[in-house]
Amino acid sequence: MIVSISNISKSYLVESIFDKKVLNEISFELNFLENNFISLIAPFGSGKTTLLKIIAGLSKTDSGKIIVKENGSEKILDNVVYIPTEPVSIPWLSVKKNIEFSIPNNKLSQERTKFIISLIGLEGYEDHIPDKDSFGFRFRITLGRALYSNPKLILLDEPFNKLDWLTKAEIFSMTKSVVTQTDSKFLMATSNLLDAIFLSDEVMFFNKEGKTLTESLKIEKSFSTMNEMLQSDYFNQVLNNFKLKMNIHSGYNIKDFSI
Amino acid sequence: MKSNKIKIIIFSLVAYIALFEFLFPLNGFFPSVTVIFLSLTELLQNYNFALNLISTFAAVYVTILFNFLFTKILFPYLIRKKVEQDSSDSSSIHSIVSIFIYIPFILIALLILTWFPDFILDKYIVAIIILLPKNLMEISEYDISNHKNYFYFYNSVGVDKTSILNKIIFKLIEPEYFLDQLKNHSLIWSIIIIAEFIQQKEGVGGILRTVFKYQDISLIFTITIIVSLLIFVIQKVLNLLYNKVYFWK
Repeated sequence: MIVSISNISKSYLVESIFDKKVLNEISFELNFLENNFISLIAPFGSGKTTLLKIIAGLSKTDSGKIIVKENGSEKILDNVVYIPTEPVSIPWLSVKKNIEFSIPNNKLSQERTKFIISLIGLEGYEDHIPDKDSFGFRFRITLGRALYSNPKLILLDEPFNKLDWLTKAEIFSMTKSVVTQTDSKFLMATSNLLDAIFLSDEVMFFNKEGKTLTESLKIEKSFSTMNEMLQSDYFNQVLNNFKLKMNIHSGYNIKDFSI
Repeated sequence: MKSNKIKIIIFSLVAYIALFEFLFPLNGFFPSVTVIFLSLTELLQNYNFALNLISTFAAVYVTILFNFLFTKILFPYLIRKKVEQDSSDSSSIHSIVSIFIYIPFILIALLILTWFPDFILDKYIVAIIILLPKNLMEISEYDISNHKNYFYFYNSVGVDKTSILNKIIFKLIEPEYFLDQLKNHSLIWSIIIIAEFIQQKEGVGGILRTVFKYQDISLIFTITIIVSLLIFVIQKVLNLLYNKVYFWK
């Protein structure tokens, strides 16, 4: 499937007085024929969340369209799940009930629930109530509920920002396993280059006006741990390449703190 | 902090007993503890106080229950626009219920009491007319920006909007609503008692009307103490209930 985004513009009414243009004539293609996980890297305030909401059909555009090219035909993109930055597990329901929440009875199956719980690494926690749990735990539940709907595309809106290193490593390993074991494709919006390179098959860069800087960067190498990635020549090469393209006008602010 | 409160209560009680039981028993304002106890017996024997208290009690909590149900029914209509709109501008939702500020609900309630003096459900209607708009205004001002993510996510997985609003977002704001009801608790008691007082009907307010007629200060005092204690105890029980029911908050 290729998701083609053409000429998307979006503005918001601020304080009922003036329009603030968040996205301005954005066009690009997401190639999910060759990739399972694509990341959009953009600076803070560049309209990543708005773009994801538009792709998910949760927000209307001022202009432009999104179509899917699949098996030689073009259609409207549907069956897309949007996972926001803050996990949205329901704090009074058990893990199992969260994952099965509002699934019609004819689509409920114990095997599928079990499979999803094992995918997200929560076996043994089926009856646990996630009222005081960490972001990582609640993200797993949110992802589990998303997977139950068997979506074509899962949109991740900076979901790893508030995770500590240890939890992040666990969640990344779980996410990689979910990507390989399901048919769903993933699109992540983030401002974190490390997360994007570690998880993605392809990375796209945007500047603060939401225009693509480079067409895309194919991540040729897969890493099993973040340390392995940070120590690799490949990563340094990608990072240097990225730094060369970044300037003050792009909205990225890369500071060199090396001594 | 808690022990300080207990010390203050004990000190006040001892001071009251010392002042009005022994030093100034015939002051014309504050009855002695013995007189309060005698008044309690009188209330139970001559005024059928227990039954009247149950009537007021039932009216208060039935009103709270009805208010909750009405609020729950109206909630999706009130909040939907606020949740659905992209920007953080919430002026549109506020304008729908802000009109209530300009409506004198207390005067309308008084009119109802005057128009239908014999209607048995008057006190319930009066309490709902005064409290429901207040509840709706409070709810419309809740900050639900954090809950919008639930709306986006569950909408994208195919859950219908009304279900998201009723089953998730209303439930997420329920603890705050419950706390608001706790704050309004003594207000609801007051409204019901005033309605009973005006109509001179069954209930604590009805007894107060009779007692006022005879200017029996000790009975008024006793009724005030009993109702205050009852509100205090129920408030404590509801606080415990809050922690149990909303354990996830």
